[in-house]
Amino acid sequence: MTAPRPWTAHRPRGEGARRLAAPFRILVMLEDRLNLRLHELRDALREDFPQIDWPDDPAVPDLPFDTHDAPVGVVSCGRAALPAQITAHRRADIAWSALLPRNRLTPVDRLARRLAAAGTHLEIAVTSRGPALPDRLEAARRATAIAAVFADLPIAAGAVQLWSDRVLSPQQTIDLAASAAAGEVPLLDWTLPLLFYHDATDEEAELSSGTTVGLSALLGYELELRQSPEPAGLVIAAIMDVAQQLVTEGIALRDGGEIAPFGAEAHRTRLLPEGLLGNDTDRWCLVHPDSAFHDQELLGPTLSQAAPKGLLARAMDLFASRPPAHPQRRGAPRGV
Amino acid sequence: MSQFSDLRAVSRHGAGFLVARDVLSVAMIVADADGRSGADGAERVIDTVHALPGLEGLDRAAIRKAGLQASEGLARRGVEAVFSDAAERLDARTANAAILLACRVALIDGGISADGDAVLRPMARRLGIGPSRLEAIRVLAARREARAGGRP
Repeated sequence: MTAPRPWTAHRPRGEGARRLAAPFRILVMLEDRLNLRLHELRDALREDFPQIDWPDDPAVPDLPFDTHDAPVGVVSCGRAALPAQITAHRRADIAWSALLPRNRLTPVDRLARRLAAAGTHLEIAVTSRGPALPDRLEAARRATAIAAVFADLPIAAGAVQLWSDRVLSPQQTIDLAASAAAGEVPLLDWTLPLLFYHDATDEEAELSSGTTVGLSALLGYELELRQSPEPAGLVIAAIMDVAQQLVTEGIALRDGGEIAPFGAEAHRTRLLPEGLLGNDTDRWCLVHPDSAFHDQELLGPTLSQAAPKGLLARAMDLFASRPPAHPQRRGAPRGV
Repeated sequence: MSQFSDLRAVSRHGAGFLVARDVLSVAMIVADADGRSGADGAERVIDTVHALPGLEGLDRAAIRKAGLQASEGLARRGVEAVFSDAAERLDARTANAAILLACRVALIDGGISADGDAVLRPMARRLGIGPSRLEAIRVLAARREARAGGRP
């Protein structure tokens, strides 16, 4: 039996730290060629998002931008974030076959058809000043605002947030930016909650799991709930409720701690270190009291379980001697 | 205006915005040749727009914005560049509207001067409007102007 984990706040490392240093990238798909001068884009940002400061920067010249002939542009974000990079690409190497189902779209949906037919896309990339959450939120807000200015054009087909795999219609992109500019944290649009139903032939077919995609761009880790007996809708609600608390209320999860999401029963919070179960970044796992995910076996006991001595400790040893569970074989989410 | 700014205007005001700007540009060119230059001429053109074909659905604020952009465009790019672009975009219906507006603006002060006429005729020709059609538009403009202000 492994030693109990101490309760520690999470510190991003490995892939999580890399994601906190990466730019927020959004693709805006266009149906036609586009040209402008960069001051026009800045003026449009000031007009559409006056709550955000879009300063003049002598180091950023007012150059022409053209999706065919001059496909690189820069917009100053002042001290709030590094200058936004805008690049145009004629051919989109985008895996629609994977993205569309994740976003509950089919290839025959109007949005999907427009996106697939768009021959040009802009890539907007905004890098934060640092890895702290306020800096990351500011960079996401600015990337979203710039994307919205382009999404508002009649030639815009839609947008893709690369950090979250989120596919958005032009109107969704505009609404999301308006919400973010108003000071809200539109986490439901900045992350993609994914739900996994378990194999109906499995003995634990009634269980469902869910995970965030993209939360790691803000916090350095993803959040998941494995093999919960709750209905699928509540699983997603629980994940997004905790994610919202993490981002807006600054709560910190502790390995072996507890949290009661969305008024539900208390769930154990367990840290799934990067790579342990094939996950490509650290994940915080919410474990329902009746979950089939045997976190104590896979991740080791937590202090709350290990602290009592005597009878309970012996019971834990007996518990640990059970055959190991194979959550991935049961259809639990793999690392995204 | 770049394509980006044009597209933003279309997004806000509808596809008729660019038509309005072209129509107003043509009328302002004639007004300028007819002796109503600068901001005063532009204001007169903007104020004279009433229910022209192709401008349905545009509110006064959008038409005013289109007029100001037309005036700025003429000052910045010159008559030939602005007219060439407009002639390329205007169809028969909206070209008629542009010449009708130009005639109405001229009629406010009693009629088109020789200088104004010297500009109007070749412009109409480039827009695909022949002499007889132009004459018909002049008559129509006079009738409308008479109804609007009691002038001949």
